[in-house]
Amino acid sequence: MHDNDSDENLMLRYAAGDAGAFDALYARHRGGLFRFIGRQCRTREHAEELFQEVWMSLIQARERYRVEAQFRTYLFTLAHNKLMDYFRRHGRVELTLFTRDDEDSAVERLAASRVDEPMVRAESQQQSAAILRAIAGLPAPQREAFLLHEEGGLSVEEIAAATGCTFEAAKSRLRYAVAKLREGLREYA
Amino acid sequence: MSPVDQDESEAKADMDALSRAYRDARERDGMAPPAALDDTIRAAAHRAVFAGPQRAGKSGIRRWTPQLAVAAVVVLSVSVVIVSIEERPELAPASIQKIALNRVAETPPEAAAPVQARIVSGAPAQRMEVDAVKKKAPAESGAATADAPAARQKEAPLLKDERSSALMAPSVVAPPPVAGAVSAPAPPVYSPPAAPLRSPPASPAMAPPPVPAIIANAAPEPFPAADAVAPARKETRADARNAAVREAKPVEEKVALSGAARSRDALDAAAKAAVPAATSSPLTAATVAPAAASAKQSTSASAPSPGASAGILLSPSTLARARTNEQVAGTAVSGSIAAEESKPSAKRDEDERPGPWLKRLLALREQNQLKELRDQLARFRKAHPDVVLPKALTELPAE
Repeated sequence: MHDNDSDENLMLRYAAGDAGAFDALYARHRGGLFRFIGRQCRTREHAEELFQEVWMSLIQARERYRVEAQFRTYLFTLAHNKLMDYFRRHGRVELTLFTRDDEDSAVERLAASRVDEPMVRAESQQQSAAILRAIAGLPAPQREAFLLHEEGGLSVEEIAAATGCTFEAAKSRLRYAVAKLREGLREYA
Repeated sequence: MSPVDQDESEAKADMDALSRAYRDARERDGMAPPAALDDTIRAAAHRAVFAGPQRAGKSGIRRWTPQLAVAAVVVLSVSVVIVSIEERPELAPASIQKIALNRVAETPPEAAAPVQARIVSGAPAQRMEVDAVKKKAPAESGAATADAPAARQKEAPLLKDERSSALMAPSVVAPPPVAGAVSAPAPPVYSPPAAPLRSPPASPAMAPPPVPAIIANAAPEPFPAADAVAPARKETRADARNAAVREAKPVEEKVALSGAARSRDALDAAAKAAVPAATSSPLTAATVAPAAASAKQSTSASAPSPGASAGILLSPSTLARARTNEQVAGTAVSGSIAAEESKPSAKRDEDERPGPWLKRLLALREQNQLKELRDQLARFRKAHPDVVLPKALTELPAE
């Protein structure tokens, strides 16, 4: 029913009282938004908390929503603001892979499966772990720009709008991030 | 292909390769919010929708906020302007002053008295000054005779008004009147012309009426009985106001006299300053003379205000003061030049002045005509309750 609707229409319908529109909207963006937040937080609990706060902000602001930009830009701008508040409270983290004791990090899980898999798949997993490690090692602005581009599908202009920087700054951050990630993945190329 | 375009294409190729690698990594990673969190968020979204319109009351308040703010600003501004005009009428524009002037002119004297009282009591600085004078007065009247308390009681309302009016003009500030001035009074202390509290010096219309010389410890002039004031009030207030300002001539004298004789001389000087105005119009004198009399009581010599002749622009407070002077002179001082003017005989005026009258009383005392002296003294007391009698008249032998 809501599959063909754009994000903006879904949000407008939800603001008008269509609860099903929110479900469709949530299903579309829950993964990307959670990864965008999760790869910049220190722990999974923090990521889940921020993820919930972003959606609650969206729910509370539904009547003030106006279609002035793409819904993705709006949603990731909310997420960016929540992350800025989070960084102010906890400080910026360079290692964004989850470090909870009872949960292995994504890198360790990917690397551990190498023994049981065929050689090709093992190398692919190694590459995946390497790229996640490289992303975690990026400076925070570059990491955020890269994640906005990959998880949110935002263009450079939209990244600039979401993060509150100039177009040139957003473009520069994205290019530096790509260059560093390529350097980290050179051995797998 | 230019180098820039080549760089762009290479960067785009790198980006595409990284995007593929990252998509592969995230699929393997499988990072996703837990199902419980999904349910929580969806439930919250549904509750919000079924709860109805969000903060309808708040949005209604927000809709009226600008109008309420504008209305509040307007009300506050008007209130401040009204209070300012009430407390300092001279700040009002000329048009408003004329309206107030007309209102004061049309107001009957009984109704004008509260207005005057409000004006006098409205300025905090003047209230403080009056209070200070009131506190100082009892301390300096230690040598008062038995008549002094009564005299001070009658003098009190006048003093209050005169003190407040004296604040408005450069003056020779002397100690407050001592009813029983048997001892030599201290000379008046000259204070440089201070800026008037209410009226700016550049505005002649705001200046108080000119006041003749003021003598320390001076007794008031021999005014006729108070009942003579009533006919003089038959003329309109506006005429009295205009005539008073037109006729009053500024007299600048600083007199430092002591003793009853000096007081008499000073009284004559003050009376001479007031009489020319009194001869031209009865109500002129009715307005000017109380000023002279009250100035004597307040023992402060006010400097003249050169531009005081612009009567039509007199502030309402000035008019109210003049009116109060007139009323007080007719009731408390029990004599005024207005009453004096209402009498046909100038000789009678001369006879009832305190100076000549005291001379006659002393002559009776010397002649030992005690019965006649007592009668005359009783009349004198009735006419001039605040005049300090010489010692020869206060110590009469018993009947």
